[in-house]
Amino acid sequence: MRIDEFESQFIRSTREPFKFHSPEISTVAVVSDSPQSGAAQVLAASTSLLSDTPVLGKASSKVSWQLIHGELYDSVRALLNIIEDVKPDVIFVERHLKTKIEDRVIGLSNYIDALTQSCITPLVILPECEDSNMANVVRPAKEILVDSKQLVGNHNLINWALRFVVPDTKLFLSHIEDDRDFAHYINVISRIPELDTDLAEKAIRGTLLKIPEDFIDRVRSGVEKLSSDISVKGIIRLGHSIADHLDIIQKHKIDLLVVPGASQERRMLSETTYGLAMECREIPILVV
Amino acid sequence: MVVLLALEEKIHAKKSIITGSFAIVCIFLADALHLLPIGPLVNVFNEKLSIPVYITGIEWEVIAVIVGSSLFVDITSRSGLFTWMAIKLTKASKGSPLMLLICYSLLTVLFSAFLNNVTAMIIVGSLSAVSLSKLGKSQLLLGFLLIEGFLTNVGGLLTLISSVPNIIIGQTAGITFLEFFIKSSPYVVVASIATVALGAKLYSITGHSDEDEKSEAAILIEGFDECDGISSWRFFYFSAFMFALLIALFATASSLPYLNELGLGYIALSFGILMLWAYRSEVNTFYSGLDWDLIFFFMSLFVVINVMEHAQVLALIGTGIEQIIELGARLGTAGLLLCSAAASAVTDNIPLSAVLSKILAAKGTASDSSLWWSVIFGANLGGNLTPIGSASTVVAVTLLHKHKLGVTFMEFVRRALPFAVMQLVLATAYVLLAL
Repeated sequence: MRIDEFESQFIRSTREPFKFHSPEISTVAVVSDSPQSGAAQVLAASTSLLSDTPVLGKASSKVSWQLIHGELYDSVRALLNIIEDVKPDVIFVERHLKTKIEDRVIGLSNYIDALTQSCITPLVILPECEDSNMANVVRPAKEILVDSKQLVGNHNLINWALRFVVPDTKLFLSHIEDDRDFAHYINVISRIPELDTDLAEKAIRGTLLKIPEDFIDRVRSGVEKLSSDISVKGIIRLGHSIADHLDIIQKHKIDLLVVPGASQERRMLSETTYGLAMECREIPILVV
Repeated sequence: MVVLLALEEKIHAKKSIITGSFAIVCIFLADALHLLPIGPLVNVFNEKLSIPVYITGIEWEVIAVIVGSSLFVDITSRSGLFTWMAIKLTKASKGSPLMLLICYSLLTVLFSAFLNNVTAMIIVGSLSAVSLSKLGKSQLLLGFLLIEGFLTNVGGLLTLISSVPNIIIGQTAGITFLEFFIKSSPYVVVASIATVALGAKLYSITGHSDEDEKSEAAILIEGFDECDGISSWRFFYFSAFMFALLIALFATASSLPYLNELGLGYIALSFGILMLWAYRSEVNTFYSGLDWDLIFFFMSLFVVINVMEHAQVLALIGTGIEQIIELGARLGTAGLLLCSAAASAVTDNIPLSAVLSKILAAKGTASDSSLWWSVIFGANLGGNLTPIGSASTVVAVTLLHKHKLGVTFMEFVRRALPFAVMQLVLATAYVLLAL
């Protein structure tokens, strides 16, 4: 019986439609470890990244910016309590909050770890620089890179990225399949005599890359219907997720990196997201 | 042999092995008892040919239709034509469960009529599972698959080539493709509508309850790409043209010069071979894709029946059938239909139709007699009573198991009974009043 053959054919013919929904942003919290004067510079720089009126969709209300400077909290619990009171729709946070310079080589700081694990609010991790220089580093995002291995159907991630676009933004949607994982599975298949290894390799590679390609096509046509100012480009390949993304960021002079946050089940960032957040210190990273 | 065929699933033996084993024993006993006329055959050129006795008993026209049609359908399905039609209809439903049921029912009947009921069930059943899952309506899958399963056997009544019993009885009775279609189509239309209406009521399949649900479903259904399975548009159009031409030739073969002598088997085989040109370097894939179990089953079954005919076993069964027929024109016709249905529900309808057609032919039954139609309707519709009654209901049950909706034998019978009774009542009334 060819039940499976036809079922596969029908599953293959289904396309995940892109559902545009601009996220509602009424309150933004900017978290800094500097005293009020220095933190104000961080706040000013942050406002250039997120405009009050989105390019796509309509703003329901004016954005209220709340500054949480370093004198307002002295522990992770205290910061979380403030965040709970402010109830922001998105949090801008300085990298390495209250961490000594010599300790900044490891991790993102306890504060950011706690924020990514304990609240589901999207987080913008600001680049590593002096407060006074923040305005030069954080600028309206003309080149945005959205990276996710689970890009297909992740409407929320793309919608958040679209909230940060400005006219003439190039939105890069990337899907990098891990080539080492792929090689491992093909190696397993090569040990199963009933399966044709060459055929399996060709079919799996083609299908793995075609699914995100189709989805990106849908996003592209959906975004183009909303605005002709925004262009969507897909980057789909087999490779190493962290190294390849760092290359893409450099090559396309990316201004904002958008990555998925902690999953509801695991309450922690994925290996790729954490790795990118660690390595990519020169540009803001939006963790959704 | 009939009992073992009914227990095919239980004893884990394929049909061809069962009938093949009986054919070996039958031939040997028939030779030992001098029941078969073994010796050279004389052809039209008065030449003596030495053909084995087990070859001459086979109805090669039936085999040719099955092999040719299977090849044609298998190759044509590679063009993406059938999935294109199926997805187009899915989109036309806009995602409404009731409209989806109506569209899939129409598709099931048409595919059963012009392809075969197993292929129809596989295509429409698979699509039902995928589209209902996409719509978040998987709870309706049981109802959809059962209704589609019951409709394959109704659709199998539409044309002479829709099911093997039709081919066997049609060949024996001398019913043409067009005559068959004209006589059976009114019943197929009425029974299909009644089956869908009953199914929608029993399984609470309705349209959308609100506008939000309607627009959400429409977006999800629009996500299907009917062109995904089409690798070459040229081959797609060629396949569509050949498919239409094949149906046209089947319909008119009896009135076309030369083709009326060469028969449907020649047409089916020719189209199968012509389509193979599209994949000329990989024909082995299609040869190995043929259902050899089914082909050897038919061949050995014809051998067994041939021996039974010479051993006067069919004549003996015929006296039993005669008692039913002698109940009177109306009661006899209805009795034969219901007995055929009952027998077809528990065993394969192919040996049943092969035996009954031989018996009716031996009695000199006229080709316009309603008795032929009693056997055709009974043999096809009886398959809806049990999960083993027909190949397409077996596929429906397999799909149910695949989607963790497995029903037991008795549960299937309980669910099938209202549909089978309704279809048989309609069929009996139709045969008595209209044929």
